[in-house]
Amino acid sequence: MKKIFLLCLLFTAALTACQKDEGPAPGERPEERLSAALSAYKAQLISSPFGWKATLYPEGGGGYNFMFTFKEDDRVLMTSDINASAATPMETTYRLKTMQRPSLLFDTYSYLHILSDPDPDVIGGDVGAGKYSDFEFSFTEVTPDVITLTGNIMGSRMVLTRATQADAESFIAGITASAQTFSNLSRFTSYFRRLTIGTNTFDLNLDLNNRIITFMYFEGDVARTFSTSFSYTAGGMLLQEPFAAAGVSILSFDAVQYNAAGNLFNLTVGGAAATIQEAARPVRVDVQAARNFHNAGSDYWASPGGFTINGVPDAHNLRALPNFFQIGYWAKYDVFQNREYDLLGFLLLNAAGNALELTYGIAAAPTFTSDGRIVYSVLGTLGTIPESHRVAVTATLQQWADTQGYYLIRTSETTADLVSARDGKAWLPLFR
Amino acid sequence: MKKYLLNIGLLLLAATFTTSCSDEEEVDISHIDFTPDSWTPGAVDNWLLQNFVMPYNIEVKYRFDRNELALDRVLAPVREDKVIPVMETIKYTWIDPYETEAGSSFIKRLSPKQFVLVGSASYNNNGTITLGTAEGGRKIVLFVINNFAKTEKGEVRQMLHTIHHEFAHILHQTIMYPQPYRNISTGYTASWNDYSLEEALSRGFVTQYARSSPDEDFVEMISIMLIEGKVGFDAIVNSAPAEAQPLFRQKEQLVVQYFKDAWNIDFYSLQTKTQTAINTL
Repeated sequence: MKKIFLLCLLFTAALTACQKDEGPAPGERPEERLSAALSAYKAQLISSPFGWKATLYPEGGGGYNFMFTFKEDDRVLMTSDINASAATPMETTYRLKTMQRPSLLFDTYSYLHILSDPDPDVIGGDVGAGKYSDFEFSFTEVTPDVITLTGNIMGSRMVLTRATQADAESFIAGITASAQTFSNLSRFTSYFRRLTIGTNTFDLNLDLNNRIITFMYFEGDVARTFSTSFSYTAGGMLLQEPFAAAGVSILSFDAVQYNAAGNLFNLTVGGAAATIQEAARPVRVDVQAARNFHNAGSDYWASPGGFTINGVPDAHNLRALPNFFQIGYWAKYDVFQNREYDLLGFLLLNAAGNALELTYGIAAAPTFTSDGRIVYSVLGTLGTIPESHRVAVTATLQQWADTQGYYLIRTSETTADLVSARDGKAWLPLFR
Repeated sequence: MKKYLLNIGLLLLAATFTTSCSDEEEVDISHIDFTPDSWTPGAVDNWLLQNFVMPYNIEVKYRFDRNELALDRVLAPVREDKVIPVMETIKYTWIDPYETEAGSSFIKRLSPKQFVLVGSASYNNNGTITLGTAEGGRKIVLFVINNFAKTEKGEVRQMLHTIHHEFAHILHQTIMYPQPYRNISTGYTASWNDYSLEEALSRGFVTQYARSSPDEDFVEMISIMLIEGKVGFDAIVNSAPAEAQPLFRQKEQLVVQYFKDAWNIDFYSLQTKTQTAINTL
């Protein structure tokens, strides 16, 4: 009897236990929290009356400045230092959307998208890839005055800083002015650009087109390079990663001025006076570099336009030659009368236009001097040189045969320059 | 007593069954879109609403939406100031000629329902670029919009090529073209891109892609005849070897017949109207 009664109670308990439950979990629903987050981000973006200063570091390198004013109606006004015309304000659209994370999308074309444009003619990026930049960003870190964003596809980084009224008026203008100052670098006709800070000197490679700076220095007797992206600032440039060597740490170049009379730049580095000047020779020659380059042999190095002389690329007008594609530099191409020789081969497009042919080339036997130069003695030419190519080939041959020889400057894993040791005013850019 | 208690027990049990889970709550999933895609409508949105959504129920997506596109391609969004000129052109050179020939409900009923605009080209791994794609007669993606200009007739034709091509697919998927069309040319192949245009022409294919299948052949014929006009099409036919020319004429005749029988459209009149539209942009 009692058993049955208990059994009934148990049943009742078991079957009524599924009580009505409002909502899947305590608190707000996920989508409510998400849309609240989006609203909060948008509120913050439009809260700055003078907009936001921003620096974008595309995954492909370089640093680019922007000035954004986000508006309530999902439109954004921007200026940039990406090119000369980007100082003119442009209004486009943006929106906030939940992707994998709450994201800020710049969803119609603007200055920012120039970096992402897959058309190589737009800013010289890679075909089908541009500068590996982003226009869809996740919010990574947010404080009231600084918003850090990460690109959703490429992983570029962009930092937004709340702007003041003064910024709104002069941020981009100041930056454009310093980009203008640095463009005087084209007045240097020598290969080497020497940074002098007190007693410290470094060779610099300033790639203004891609906004990448490379320092060449020594650790003991070992030659090293350090490359990082930079962005222009009012008065100079800011490095993305600081350079530290020989007791010097460099995060920025400030108060940069071009001195036309002396053809040099005056600047300050961490408060100390410094100069950037052109030079005929490197600060210190890596005596093994040329020999190592030659001994590595194997695959050829490419040079799309041959020698640069006095700052003029393709000084011998190779690119104007019929069917010319590029020069190939083969180290240890072959052996002639017991002498190993290197080849500057002229690669031409074949008649069908779908393959390269090595039609002819200049052969030269290299010797290596104890001070690190490589000197070529020309053995002759191989193959048949078309009549229309003869002038350019002879000029290239004479330049290559310079009896002072060349320094081999390795600028990265995949790039190197063969720089005339005579005066540093002629060089052959190579890449692979 | 025993029985009385048992009855109470049964009663309780019955009550339990009927009341315990009686509230049929609706399955409570999200009422809010996780990925809201809304913004304050601007001048472009209003223009599209008036000219495409309201009359034709066609959505035009111009604000970049990654979900509509290949994730492994680097693409740039469209310039806002290109949207209206492009869509005006599409209306003027594709919708309007069909409407005048086939009546106002024709496009409303059969058109693809979504256009997606992309600013840059889509770069393929084999060195080619894609100018337009279409999915199942519903969605058409148009690339390289940022280079669009009404005065660049070559590019206007290239863009229309995609639209006319895809629309012709919808037409023949709705009413099939005559079977004899399939037997006019031989040599359909999936590796159509390995063969030159000259080879395609010598077999009676109007483009290289027309070689890929009879369906593609049929819609390429329609598309080329419309965008190039009678003069342009005749020039293509005359550039083909003499023995292939009758093949083009047979196909042309079947296309004209198909438009008359299936849709009661005078194809030559449509062709003329399309040409006039392109030339008077």
